[in-house]
Amino acid sequence: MTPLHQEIKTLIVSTLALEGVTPESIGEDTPLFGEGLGLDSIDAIELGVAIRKRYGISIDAESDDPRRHFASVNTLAAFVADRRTF
Amino acid sequence: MYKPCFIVPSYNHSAAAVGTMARLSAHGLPLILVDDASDAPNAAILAQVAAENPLVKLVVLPINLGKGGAVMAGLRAARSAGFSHGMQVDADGQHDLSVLKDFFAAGRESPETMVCGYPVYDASIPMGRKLGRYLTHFWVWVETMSFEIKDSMCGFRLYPLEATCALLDEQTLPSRMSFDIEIVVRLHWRGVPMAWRPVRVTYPVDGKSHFKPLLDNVLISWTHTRLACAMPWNLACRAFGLGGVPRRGTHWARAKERGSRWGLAFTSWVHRCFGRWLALPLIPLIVTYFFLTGGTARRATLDYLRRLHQFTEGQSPRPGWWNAYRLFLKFGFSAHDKLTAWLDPWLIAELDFPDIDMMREARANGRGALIIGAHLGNLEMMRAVAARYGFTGFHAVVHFAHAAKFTGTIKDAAPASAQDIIHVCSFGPETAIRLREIIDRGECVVIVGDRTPQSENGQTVSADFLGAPAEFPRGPFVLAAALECPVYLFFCLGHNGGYKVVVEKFADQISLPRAQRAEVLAQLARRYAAKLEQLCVAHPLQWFNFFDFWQPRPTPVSHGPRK
Repeated sequence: MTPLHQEIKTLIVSTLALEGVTPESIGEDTPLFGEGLGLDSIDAIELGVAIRKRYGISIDAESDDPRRHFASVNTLAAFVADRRTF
Repeated sequence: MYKPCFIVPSYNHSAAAVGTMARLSAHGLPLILVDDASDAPNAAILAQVAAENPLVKLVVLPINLGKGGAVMAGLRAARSAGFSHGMQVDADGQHDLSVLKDFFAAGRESPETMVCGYPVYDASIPMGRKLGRYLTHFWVWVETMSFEIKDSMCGFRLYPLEATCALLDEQTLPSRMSFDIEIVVRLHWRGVPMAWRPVRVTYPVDGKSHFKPLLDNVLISWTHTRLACAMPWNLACRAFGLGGVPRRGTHWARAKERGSRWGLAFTSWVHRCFGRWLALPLIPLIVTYFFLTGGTARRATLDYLRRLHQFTEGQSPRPGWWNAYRLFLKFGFSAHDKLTAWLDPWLIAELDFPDIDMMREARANGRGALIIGAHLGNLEMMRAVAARYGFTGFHAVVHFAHAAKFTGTIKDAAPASAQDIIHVCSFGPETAIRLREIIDRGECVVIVGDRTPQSENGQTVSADFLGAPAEFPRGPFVLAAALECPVYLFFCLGHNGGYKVVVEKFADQISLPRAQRAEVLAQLARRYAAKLEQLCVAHPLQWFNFFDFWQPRPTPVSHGPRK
């Protein structure tokens, strides 16, 4: 686990104000939506905006496969590492 | 339960039939062989095949009924034997049987669908039949007012037996060659969905054909004459819900966009070649077709008019077919106005925009804005308005699957216009990032607030609307909070032959503290609903939301360990 993984877990917990969930309790491969962490579509909007604000990510509508990047902490960390502008 | 069988009609074709059946037996499926009163030697051969093969069930007709009669007997026998689907295969072996697997797979995937073959010919087709086919294609398009039926004469079809036998029980169908045509047209009238697969066809050189060029072409012409005359009545019956397959309430996001593209594309083409005024008379024709065939949309409209009538204590137009039709007609003209607005914006004569400065300021202050519209009036006109007044940076969020056809037409007609449309299939974090990018540039995002996205899974908020609770999406308000930008309501309403733009500041910023989230959302939805209600009362025939808006809330899907 890299510092970025840790940062993203903290960001998820603080942005969504998840109760009873600590950053440590989120596994790197735990699915974020649906089964797993159980985030819903409203969380998805908040999380997307938080990631945009924190890392300056932009999305390429043509080639980005929706859902893939936000599947788990691992996929999200790879996505952020690839696209971050700050 | 999916349980298909073969249906093979045979009349004195025993040699070919035996060959065809041998090839079909490779599929290991039961086969209903209909002996259409063949002569004694042929009947004996067919009986022997049936006796030797446990998968073959023989139905012997006492008198010769013709191909249609034999197929109908086979369909009925299949239903009483408990099958769900009947795959009709001609005994003469003219069809390429290698595609059967694909037919059965399609039937399994969508059991209500009739899977039909359309022929791909080699050079062996006789001229007399070719001519008949051309005539028939034309007539079928007229009879069904659609191009959905690719071929009406190819008897290579997987019939869903429940819908098919319901038709057979109510309607006498011709028993000769014109059966194939009439049954597909009538099932189409009844709203049975159809899927099409290509099938290679070879006419056997020495094969017997029971097709008599003169007699059968005359009979086919007679069939078309009857069908064309019966068409208006049948489309009306379908519209009134007499007969046909039962329809369930369809959530808008799952409802297939009506196949209006060719109608719209045609209007657009006439518009470009001959000008707006020649295209206008086509609108009532297209609208009438959709009014008669679009049961879900029509019922939702009648329901809306009824609620509005109660709510206004009788001040709004009477709920009934005439006013529902007027609403549809207004929708048709507004769709046409969208095209006009893209193609020649100056033709929209009257554009009353009293609060234009509010919009200018929203665009100029660098904070961006979320603009919430509705299916009221003509929201897309806004983009034409923007073009006309020199606004840039307005991006409309459109549910992809739903509006794909209309956007496609717009794209064909005015390629530049499609640039600012953001298509979303599901509203996920990526969409939020894209919208936030737009806001960060100080531009505006336009979204509708009166439809519930499919993926929301109960993410709706209830608000009273026209006297009864309706479910509004939470998405636009949550989005507004996440985007941290000012929020406006925007409506573009038909008014005195032109358009009137209504814009109102909804909130400078929305925040949704987790503890009071439900309350705040309910308040916001109620304010939005109240504005919508006020405009619906003032413009009763301009709410173009053709889905059951008051349908009960879906059961929320439970989520993981939180909250």
